[in-house]
Amino acid sequence: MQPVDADHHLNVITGTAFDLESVDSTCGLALIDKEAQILSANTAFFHLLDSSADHLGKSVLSVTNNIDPSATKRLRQILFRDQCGFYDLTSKTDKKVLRLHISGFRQPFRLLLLENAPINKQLTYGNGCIAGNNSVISSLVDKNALNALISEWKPSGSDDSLATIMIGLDGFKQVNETIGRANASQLLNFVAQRLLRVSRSSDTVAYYEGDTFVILQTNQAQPSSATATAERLVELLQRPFLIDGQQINISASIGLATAHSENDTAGNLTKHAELALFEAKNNARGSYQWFERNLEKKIQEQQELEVSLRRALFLQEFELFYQPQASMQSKALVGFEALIRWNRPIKGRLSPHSFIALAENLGEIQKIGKWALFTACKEASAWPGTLKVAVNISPKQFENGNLVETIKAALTASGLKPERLELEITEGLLIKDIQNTIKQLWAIQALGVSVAMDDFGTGYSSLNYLNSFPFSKIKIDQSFVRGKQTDKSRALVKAVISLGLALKIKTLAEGVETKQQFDYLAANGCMEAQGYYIGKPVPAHKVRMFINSFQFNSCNKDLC
Amino acid sequence: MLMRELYRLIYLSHNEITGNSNCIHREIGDILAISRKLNADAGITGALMFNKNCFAQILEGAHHRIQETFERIQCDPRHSRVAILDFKPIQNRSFAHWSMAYVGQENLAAQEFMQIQKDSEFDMNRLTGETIFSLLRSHLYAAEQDNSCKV
Repeated sequence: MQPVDADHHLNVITGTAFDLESVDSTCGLALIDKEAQILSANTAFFHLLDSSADHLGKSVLSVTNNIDPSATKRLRQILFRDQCGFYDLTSKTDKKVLRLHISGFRQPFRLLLLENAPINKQLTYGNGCIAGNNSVISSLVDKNALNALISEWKPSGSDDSLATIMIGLDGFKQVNETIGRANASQLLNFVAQRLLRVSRSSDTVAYYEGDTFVILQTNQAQPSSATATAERLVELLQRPFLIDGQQINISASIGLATAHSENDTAGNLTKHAELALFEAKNNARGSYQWFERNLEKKIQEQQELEVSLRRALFLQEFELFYQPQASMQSKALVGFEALIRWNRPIKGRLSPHSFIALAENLGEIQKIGKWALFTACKEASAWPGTLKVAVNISPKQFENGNLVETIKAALTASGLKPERLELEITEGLLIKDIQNTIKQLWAIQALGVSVAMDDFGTGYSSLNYLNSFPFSKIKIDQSFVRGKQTDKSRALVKAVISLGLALKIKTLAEGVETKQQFDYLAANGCMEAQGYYIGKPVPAHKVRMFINSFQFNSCNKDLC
Repeated sequence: MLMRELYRLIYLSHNEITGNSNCIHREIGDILAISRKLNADAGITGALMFNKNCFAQILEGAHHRIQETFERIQCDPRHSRVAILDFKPIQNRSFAHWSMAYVGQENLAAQEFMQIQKDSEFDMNRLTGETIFSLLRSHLYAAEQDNSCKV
């Protein structure tokens, strides 16, 4: 039992006034005497219990009996022994759950405090809270009771174990938004019913929170029993549901943890199951995962990475490096690609592949992408001549519809001429919502900014994409260029170059590391190159030096 | 409103009953006995077709009754890979006389069902609810007229 606040309130109230009638609170408050007769109560008390001040002077049991007759016996026990505690009343009409806290008896009073039961006792998700209609969920054990069961568990023998099977519905938030709350509530009830149907009579099925349920297994051979249950549940919850005249499909991920002796991990059991569930969801929807020791560390690191990524922009930990691009024919510099680096304190410098995907998931990419655009434009505006700057744009930046405005603002703020800015997008962008994307690409082009197709050949390469928009450049992915060339990669590179020639789109080879590669590409008609052979990415303050030395050295180098 | 509306559900699932034909007959007998009793109470009518690979079932009744019945059926370990072919409101029942008509594997309709499955290369997604529906209905109506249906 949790500590009862009512004791504290009693001290306060008995020290001041005995009349509760005017106490304006969302909580119901009442003072009762030794015989449980109501001496004083505020409006909320009667209101919550669907009764009125007419009951002053009558037994509190006559009022509670009104909404939950099944509670009377247990309440009488608490009231007529000198006990404190709380009791959850479930309204027989609307299944609303009220928690009645009862203080110990202090001459001549006892204080009752009545409130809506804690969120997890009700069927909730999202921001609001609704009591399930005809709710199976309300018949399940709640989170408090589950925790109590776990902490009170004692192994009955040396081979006894306690297993926690934590079931989380995948993508429930989206389902909730799509089908509406009432239907989502029914879905949760059907899920609860399926769990009850497949669990053993010795299992405990609990409603944990939101879209998460727990099944506790005792006296079973573990890990085999819980694993078998998890496999069955994953399959069972993938089966369709019929909701509101439609078929609804959802899947569940499952985290498993077990305790073998009482001082083992009983206290941490639900935490371990949560970590395992988190990992299962990370791995694949509709999978299960047993808790392992290294998960704690792994998830902690992941969370640290998230937290520090969220504040990295504010702490100015990002920096742009610039990698030179050169024309293969004139051998002159044509521009630089801006590459983001995260200077993470203690951990060191991270390149984009280790954090961009996370930034996209966290929704941070909008801000980071905007910063990169503004910074690249500003830094490039100090470069001499017509040198271009290429900036990578994440598909996510196309989603909120502000991209064109952001580009315009970055150009205005920096004074960079639009024709000196080139955006690099990947093929993946064109898979989703292609019409909306192409519309934005045309608007970008109308500003005078060019758009290059990055990493060509690695994704869902489709000639159709190249035909859907006048791209300024096709960038041949470095995986086809650097390292050992195979016949296949040579053929692919040649094919892309001739494709570019046919469509009159410039081709740029990435990852050019040797003179041999450079010469081969140049001989086959590739127009531009980027890679260590031309130059490594350099920080902004070294760009000018690079330009000068490149021009200076170029006459003496193979490139000339 | 929706709760009282009449709906029809058509689904296919894979048979998980193993053992010899006696075992299978016994299990199917159980399934029918229980479903006929529960369906009668819930105002559900329909038909079940079985061959050694698959179940095809049609349920007709009030929306919430179909929901409840389908949830019960879903948890039955004797089948798996449930695929809903059709779930929609209907004007009238087509199997009003049957709390659960049964078409077994020795039956002509079931053999036809088997052939359809072969034709669709066992790809259940290519089978439509309409195919199952017309197959069952035409067979059961014909059988009723012959008075030879083992319902």
